[in-house]
Amino acid sequence: MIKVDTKYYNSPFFAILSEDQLYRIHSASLEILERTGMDVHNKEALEILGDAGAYIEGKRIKIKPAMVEKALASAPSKIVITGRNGNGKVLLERNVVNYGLGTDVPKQIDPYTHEVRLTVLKDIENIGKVVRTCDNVDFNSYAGLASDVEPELQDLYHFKACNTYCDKPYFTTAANGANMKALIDISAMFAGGYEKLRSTPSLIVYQEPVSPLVLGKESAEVLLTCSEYGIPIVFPPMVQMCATGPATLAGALAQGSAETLFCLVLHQLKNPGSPFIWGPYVSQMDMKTTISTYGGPVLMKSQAALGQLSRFYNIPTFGFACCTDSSDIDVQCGVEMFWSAFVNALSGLNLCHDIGYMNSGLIFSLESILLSDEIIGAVKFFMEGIEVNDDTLALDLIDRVGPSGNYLAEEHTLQYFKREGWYPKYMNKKTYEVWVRENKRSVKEKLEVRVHEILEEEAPSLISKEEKKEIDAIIKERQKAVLEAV
Amino acid sequence: MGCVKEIAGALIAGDADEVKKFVKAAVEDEVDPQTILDQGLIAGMDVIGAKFKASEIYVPEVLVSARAMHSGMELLEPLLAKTGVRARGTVVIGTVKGDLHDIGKNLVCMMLKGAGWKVVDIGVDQPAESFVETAQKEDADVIGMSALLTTTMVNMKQVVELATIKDCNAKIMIGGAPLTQSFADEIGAQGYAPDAATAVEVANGLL
Repeated sequence: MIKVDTKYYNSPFFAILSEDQLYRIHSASLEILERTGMDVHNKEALEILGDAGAYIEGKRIKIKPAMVEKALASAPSKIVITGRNGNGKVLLERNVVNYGLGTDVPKQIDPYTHEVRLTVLKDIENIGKVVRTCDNVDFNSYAGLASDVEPELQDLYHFKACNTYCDKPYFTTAANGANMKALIDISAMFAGGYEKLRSTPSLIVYQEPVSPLVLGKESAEVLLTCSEYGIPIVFPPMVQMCATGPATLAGALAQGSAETLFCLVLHQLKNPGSPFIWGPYVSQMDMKTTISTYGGPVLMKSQAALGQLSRFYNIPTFGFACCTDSSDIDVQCGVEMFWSAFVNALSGLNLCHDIGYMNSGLIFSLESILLSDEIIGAVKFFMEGIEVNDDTLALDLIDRVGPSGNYLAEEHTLQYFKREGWYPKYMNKKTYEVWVRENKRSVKEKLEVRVHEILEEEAPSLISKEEKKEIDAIIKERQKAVLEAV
Repeated sequence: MGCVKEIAGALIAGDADEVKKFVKAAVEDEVDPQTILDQGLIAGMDVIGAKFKASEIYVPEVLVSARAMHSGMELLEPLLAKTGVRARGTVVIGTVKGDLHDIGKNLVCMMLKGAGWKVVDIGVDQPAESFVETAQKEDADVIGMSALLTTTMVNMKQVVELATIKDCNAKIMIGGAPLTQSFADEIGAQGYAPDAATAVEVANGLL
């Protein structure tokens, strides 16, 4: 016999917008670009856009829909980033979700004193140590702003510190075109040349326009430099509803989408086919506290919509996962981190960053990386759906065990119990009595213990002495240039 | 003696065939059956028990090792009987009257067997007489009672009372979702285990 006409789902799915709603948002973005346009504070960008036929009114640039369509057609739908030593991979294409860290958090929770203090370079080294141990974290980043180095060169010092103990794909910002070039020089040194770096990039760059509708000088430099060298870049505007965008999600999405498309047009004009990751940040400015919310349902609604929009554009997109507005590893943190990781996966976002962000991106902690790793593990498990076949239906086994039997010591159980079950590292699954006997250890305490173990373990440096020397030489050169510019 | 260590190793790996092979070799080498049992099989299961307690391994893995232990025990039992060596202890275990739930009890049975106990499983829905009479017949060290329902757990008290009346020497331990240490104290049971892993420890502690 044959079983015909069967359809199997490998994972659950959902949608927040209809096709027509998506199109209205897209159409609104096109109208913003043609009617309102953006202010551009970068000479090269103005020239490139002007040459391509944009409307120029001083620094105000307006773009025709045909230019957007051309850019969408030339931007790649698939981007692969491999760790600099060939370890770890980020695959950015439709239906593939990757998770990793974010950048630029001013404060850290000290792993020993638990005091919230300014980030130092040592913290960033420690982040690499922790990320290295996390199976569910696909890319690494420095999630801090080292306060103990000169601010003009932070991104270069971050590279060295963050990559010392971790060689997963690296996510970074760059302050300006020159620092971007220095980061490319360092990465090319690891890759064995600029061509090799272009064909197998090991880093993903983050920069942003200024919402509403402004492209700054330095961020445009970074955008154009990445385009030129074929380094994947994500360029999300920060649309804070009520403040840098309208209070309504539809309008904020349309504006954020327009700003991103504008930057995509410029990026593709500079070097058609260069890898670009789409996706604005759209969330509410909390009108009680004025924070930009990273936790909660508003950002998640926009993320769900952006997942659909990116599939409509067929360009890899950006996500925000395992973020919280809480300042502590507490109930709120758990709820918000789980919820964002889950919605990112359901929405099919590709480059889901900022894991472990606390206090709306102002505080970071090593514990929150481990918590994120566990949460992402749970989400992954859920997204794998339910395998339905003869072996998993287990009818022979059910018949053999029969009424009053049990499945505990069956081969089938042994074969499947790990794959079909989920076993967390930190969440409590103990009976109350056992939990009490074992000193009522909370998830937070377990995370702390594990962080201490990781920090105290011997970890080999993944950057050789020679490589360190070359990085130092590149930093020194930039130092000199910065001093001369003063 | 080399084989004895290998028995423990094979048992930890859950490899029943290897356990059998090494037990056989040890018997042929005329190693004392008590030594094979204590330093081979039970030593191996103690490692498994400790790993399970430390959450390093999972229930099905414990049970695979337990199964490997049984296959070794099958070869060893006739010799042990001849030399008068006893198992670690004997437990009579069942679910109390009115209760048909047995998954927890079965799990405890497997864990205890794995830890070297002789387990006499009297099944579900068992009256007090059945527990006490079997314990006396088997000269059991421990009576284990299981219940899932608050309406049936009260029947545990009758078993304790009957054991006293009948001069049964077996210590009594209880377990099951609605039970607590204070309930055990109240009915005069000497042991209470909140889960299957703890049950082995509690039973060992009653010896």
